[in-house]
Formats: sequence, structure tokens, C-alpha cells
Amino acid sequence: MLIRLCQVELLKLRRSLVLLTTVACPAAVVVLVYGMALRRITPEGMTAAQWSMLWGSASALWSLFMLPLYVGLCTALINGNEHRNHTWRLMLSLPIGRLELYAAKAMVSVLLLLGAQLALVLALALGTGLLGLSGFPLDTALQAELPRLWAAPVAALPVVTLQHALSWRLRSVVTPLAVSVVATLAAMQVGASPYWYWLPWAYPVAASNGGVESMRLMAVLGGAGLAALLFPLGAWWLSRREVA
Amino acid sequence: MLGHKARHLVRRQRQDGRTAPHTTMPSAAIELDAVDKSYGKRQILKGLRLSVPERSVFAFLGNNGHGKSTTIRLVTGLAAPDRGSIRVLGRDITCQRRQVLAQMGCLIEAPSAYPNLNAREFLGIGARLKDLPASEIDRALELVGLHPAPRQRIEHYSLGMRQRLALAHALLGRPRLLVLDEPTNGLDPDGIREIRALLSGLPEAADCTIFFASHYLDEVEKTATHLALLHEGRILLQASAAELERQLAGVLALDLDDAAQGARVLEAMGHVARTEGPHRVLVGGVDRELAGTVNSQLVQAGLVLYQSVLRKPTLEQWFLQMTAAEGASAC
Repeated sequence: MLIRLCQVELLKLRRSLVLLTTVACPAAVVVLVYGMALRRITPEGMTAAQWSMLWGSASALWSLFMLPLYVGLCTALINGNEHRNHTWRLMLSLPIGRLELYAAKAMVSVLLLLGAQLALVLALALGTGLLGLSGFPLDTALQAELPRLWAAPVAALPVVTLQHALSWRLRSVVTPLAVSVVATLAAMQVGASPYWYWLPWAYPVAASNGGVESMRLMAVLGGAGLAALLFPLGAWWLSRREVA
Repeated sequence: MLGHKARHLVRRQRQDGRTAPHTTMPSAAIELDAVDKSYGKRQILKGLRLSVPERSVFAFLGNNGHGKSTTIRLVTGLAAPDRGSIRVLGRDITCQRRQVLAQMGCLIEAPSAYPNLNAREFLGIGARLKDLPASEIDRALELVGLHPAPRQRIEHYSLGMRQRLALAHALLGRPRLLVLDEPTNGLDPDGIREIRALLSGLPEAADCTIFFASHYLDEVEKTATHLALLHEGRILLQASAAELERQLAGVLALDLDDAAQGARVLEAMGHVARTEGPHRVLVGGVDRELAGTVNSQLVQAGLVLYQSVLRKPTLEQWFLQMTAAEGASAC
């Protein structure tokens, strides 16, 4: 049933903004980072370290800024679909469990986050390919260190869980989006401090671009663990509320 | 005088300790027993008892804010009662919600849908979650007479089309019970007529029970086979349309050669009568059978009877009188 519900949730997103933002958000990050880099890099000076820095910058901007905002927007749109169209009663009067619907929406949010992460990887590859066509040496790119792109979505799981619970609970999309923006801005401040682990919005960048291995590991494990704790708590809290 | 017998029926049902005459009814599609429901400090339903016979078109009448939508939410498992039991299609809705909902179709308040989808995609949601074949979508669309353009999105539908689509969604999977909350709300007269015709034909076409909440008495009068009147969280009366028809007493207007003499004759026979001019007598609390008896009694008494007209109250008059009388007795 959960798979069917996920299929239904994806069906509901047809022709919606969510799918567009899944591609547009990471693409915007790559365009911005590569565009800014083109001012200072030249094909001659493009070493492996330069490629690493370029990709690292894209990964950092994505993980620190765009990914948390994308999660906020994505969960708000997925749940807002029901709030806006008054379809909670329609869905919950079908033979499905409330918890299943809650879980399916969370799973689709994670799926879309993975899709956005894949879009980031493809956009990075495309950007690199275009630079190669413009005369930048791709052999040094092959020697460059890849950023830990897989780690950011795992570390972002508690953000997905929190934003999902808020968006499910609140009729207006304004509050979840405001929380997303404020927490992202706070993460930009707190992310570089020793207290970054108090704010889950700082976990993705710590996991993908953290300065030390222990920080990166803690962000990934802490993110997964916190999400495992928050998800049942959110589900329990929301399952006690009746449909308005 | 209007509704005198109906009120008597309510009193008798209360004395019996119940509000619904179960004896003549077949097995129930919905049964509510002593259900209480409060939101905060406000008690919406107060010991609600209700029995909806299978294959009936059951109208659930009541003014806004008296508990109709709350009852519908309880019946569809969207809310839980504070006290009492709710059995739907023979199962306890609070314990076996999923099994019950698999055999139910619901249209709760506004016809909600996803405007970015087309009709088939929208119905595909219900079909997939009820594990139904795609042919079921065609059947449901056919049943409600909706033939949308394949690519037309729901956002371009008229309100009437949306309502039909919502009904088609409710009809997916041949439900044994349809629960509809204000199914003609917001529709224009043509739309109301279309939906009403659809509802009347559904129990036979789809072989199901229809339980619908409404405050449009005209709609109820034309479609319902049974009805219940909800007032301030309690059932005032539950009856079949035929029973109600029998119970609703009318006023018999008699045109006689001598109204005063006619009134005296009728009062002597135990009827409540008053004159209205020299030739007209009004007799209260009269049904069809009694009207025949009164007519023959007057003729036997030697009076000339020019005309005899039995005026029955409309459902609206009855409804207003019932709710007003209940309000007065509560004061």
C-alpha cells in the first residue's frame, strides 16, 4: 500500500511546480557557481585542485543554502496540495491509514530530494563537459577529488522530517517556508561554529563539506539518527489530531 | 395544527426510549447508538441514535451548525466519537475503518480535486488505492454522465462538472454505501436538477445505500426514501418518506351550505373545527382516511358539501414547525 500511495503522491505532482524546482534549484546553483568561477579561472591554470574547489563550491552552496530551502519548498508544496485543494477528507476517506499517507508523503519528499541531488550531479557533469568543450583540460578534472555529494541528502533527513510535519500540520504554506528561510540563514551563521550540531539545517553542509572527517561523519550519522527519532514522534503527534 | 401528529410521533418515540422506529426497517447500513461528540467545551452530538436502512436514499436534515457534518465525519472515520458506538455496513468504524471505507464512497462538503490533473488521472488515485482496474474509471464516468475531453484539466471544469467528478470518485469500486455531505451545495438550478436526478437513480443503478446530509428541503422531498431530522445534536424524528407522509396531518377545508352548523356537527364528533366565513369550515389534524370519514359524516348530517380540499404541509413548513416547537420546548 505504501508503494501505491507513493505512486499516487507522485501522480498528484504532475504539471506542478515541484518537479520544475527539482531540476531548476540545483541547475541554478551550478550556473551561479560556474558563472562566478569563469571570472577568475583560465584553461591554463585549471589544476586538479581548481576543479575540486569548483565542485566543492557548488556542493557547499547547494548543501548550505539551496538544499534546505528546496526541502522547505518541496514539503510545503506536497502537503499544500491537500490544504489548498481541500483534499484531506477525500484522501482520508479512502481505505488508507493516516500514518501511511504521512509516511508516503515523507518518502516522496526524500525521493524528490534524491532527484534534486542527482540533478545537481548531472548539472555539474554537464557544466564540466561544457568547460571541456571550451578548452579547459579535462584530464586534470579526472584527477580531482570529488565532493561527498551522497552525504548531504542523508544529513538532510531531519530537516525533511521537521518541514514535513510542519507542512502537514499547518494549512498555510507561509509558516513552513518562513521557518525554512530563517533556519537556513541561521545555519549559515551557526554552520561554521562549534555548535553547528544544534541546528539540523547545518547538517547537510557539514556532511558534504565539513572540514574534518569526524564532523562529516557526525553530520551523516547524527542526521540519520535524528530523523529516525523525529519521524515516529511527528507521526504520533499528528495521528492524534482529527481531520478538520 | 400542522405537524401535530408528527410531534406526537416524536413524543411517543422518546417515551419508548428511542428516536427511530426500527421495527419496520430492514438491516441497517449505518447504526449510531448513543453517540456523543464534543469539540472543546461545545457538545455537538448528544446521545445520537440513528439507523439507516440498506438500499435507502436517506436524507439527514438539519440546520447549519446542528451536527450534520460532524455526524458525517464520524460515519466516515475522519473523527472518533467521545462515547457510543458507530457501526457501518455491519462493522465498527473505529476498529475496522479500512475494511468499511473499502466498501464506501464519500463526497464530503466541497467537491475537492487536484486542479492540475485531468479526470482520468484524478479518478486513477481512488482506483489505485482501492486496487481497481482502469475499466472502473470508465464505468464511474459513465454512471455520472461525465464525458470530459481527455486532456482537459480539472481547473477548467465548471462547478457542476466538478461535482459530477467528485461523485464519480465516490462511486469507484461499486460501493455499498455512499455518504454525501451537501451534494448540491453551490450548484446552479440546472446543476441541482442534474445531481438530484442522478441521486434518485443511483440506488438502483449502483445497488447502494445513499446517506446524504442536506438543508435543501426541496431536494430531500424529491429524492429521499427515508429521512431523519437533526436538531441541536439530537434526532428529532426518523421515518421513511411514506411514514412521514402518513404522519403529516393536514388541514381539511370544507365548503358547505352552512359553515356554523357544519362546525357544530364536527365538534360533536370530536373534531377540532373552526369556521372561516359563512360557508367554510377548517378541520385540523386530518389525513386522507379521516378526510373521507369527515366528508361522509357531514353528508349524513344533511349538510350540502360543495367542496372538500385536504391541504398538507410542505416538508419545509413541517421542518420549520418541528424545529421551532423543539426550540420552544427547550426554553
